[in-house]
Amino acid sequence: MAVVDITRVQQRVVAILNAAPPPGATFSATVSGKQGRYRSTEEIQYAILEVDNAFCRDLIITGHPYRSQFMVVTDPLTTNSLIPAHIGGQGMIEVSDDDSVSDSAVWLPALTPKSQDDITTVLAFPTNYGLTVADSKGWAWISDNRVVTTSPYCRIRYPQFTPNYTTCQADASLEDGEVSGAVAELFKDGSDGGLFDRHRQLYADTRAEIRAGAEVFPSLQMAERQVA
Amino acid sequence: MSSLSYAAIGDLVRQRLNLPVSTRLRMQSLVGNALQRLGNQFAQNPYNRQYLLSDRATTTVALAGGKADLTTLINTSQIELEYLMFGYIWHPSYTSPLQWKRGPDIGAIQGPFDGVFPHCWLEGIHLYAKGTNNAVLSGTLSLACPYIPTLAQLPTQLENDLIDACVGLARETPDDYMETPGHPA
Repeated sequence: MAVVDITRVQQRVVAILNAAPPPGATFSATVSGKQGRYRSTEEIQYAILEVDNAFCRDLIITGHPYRSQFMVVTDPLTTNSLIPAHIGGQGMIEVSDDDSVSDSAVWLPALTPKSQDDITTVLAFPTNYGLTVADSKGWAWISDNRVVTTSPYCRIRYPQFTPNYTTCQADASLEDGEVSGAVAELFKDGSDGGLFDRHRQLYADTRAEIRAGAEVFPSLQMAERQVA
Repeated sequence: MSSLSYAAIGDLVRQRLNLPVSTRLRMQSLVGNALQRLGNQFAQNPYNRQYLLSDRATTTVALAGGKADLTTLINTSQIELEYLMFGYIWHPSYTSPLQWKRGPDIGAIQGPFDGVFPHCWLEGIHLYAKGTNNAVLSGTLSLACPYIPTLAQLPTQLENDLIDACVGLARETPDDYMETPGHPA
């Protein structure tokens, strides 16, 4: 998947801010140092990457289809395990088809009961739910960042995001938004208000566009199910 | 014999009730009691009863002092004491099954045919047996009597009856088993 090209964004931002004025390079990724407000190329780079981080967080938090690129899977977890720290909602819970964590195990989506108490009850009284473990395995529930499951092992897909201060991570389709965002972030005392207002609006529009497709995560579905 | 699992039954029951998958575990918990209900219902019906009669070759109990303690058969073979008289009990000395005796005088006063037929009666969980001429019997009794099947013992023909029994139990439960149909699965 192509991500935003930071060099191209940097060139655009430098040009919009007139940070590399003529004579010299007029479409450059680096500032000339002659424009008083924008004397550091790093400052512009960091602004772009901050906007990129904000976009990535939006993608992750809303469940946008681009969230897939950030999804990783936990190591096999036993019941009542803490889920690794992360931003955004947890994704799918999976259980192994043969109750093992071997390489040959196939991980299938877990079933969600009516409440966490169903899992607790199965674990307390397994014979009420069948003669073998197979009868009641495959169920899982997330609560307070812990997972409980009727299977010996489960694993959870979750978004893992680590800010990067050299390259962008958001999808290339968001490049125009990053240009506007970086310009908006670089507003300084005495800057041209009209120019920054325009880019602030474009930036806000892009973020709103991402958030418009917000999805409901499994953990919220579980909460809704419990009170239904 | 049925190859259905508790999980499969739970799923069939919740579908019959138009409930979401999330309720399957709760439906599974009904299977054990539904088997008991099914066993009771079938024991009461002379035709259906034949499906759930214990195997006389393996359902046996030893007589000691003219009586047999049925505790083990109740617990392990799940014979139904209340329907025992609807089954057959054999003693190896006789080709015909023992005759059932009942009444307040059983075992105390000789009945009109007690000298002709081997007979038996129940006192609590003890089965008393006497032969012809009122001889106290010893040895081993074989029972073909109504019992509560396990899921593995359930004849395939009774699978639908089991689902019906589960559905009946679910409908008797005044909680959220019967939540609004159409709840998101």
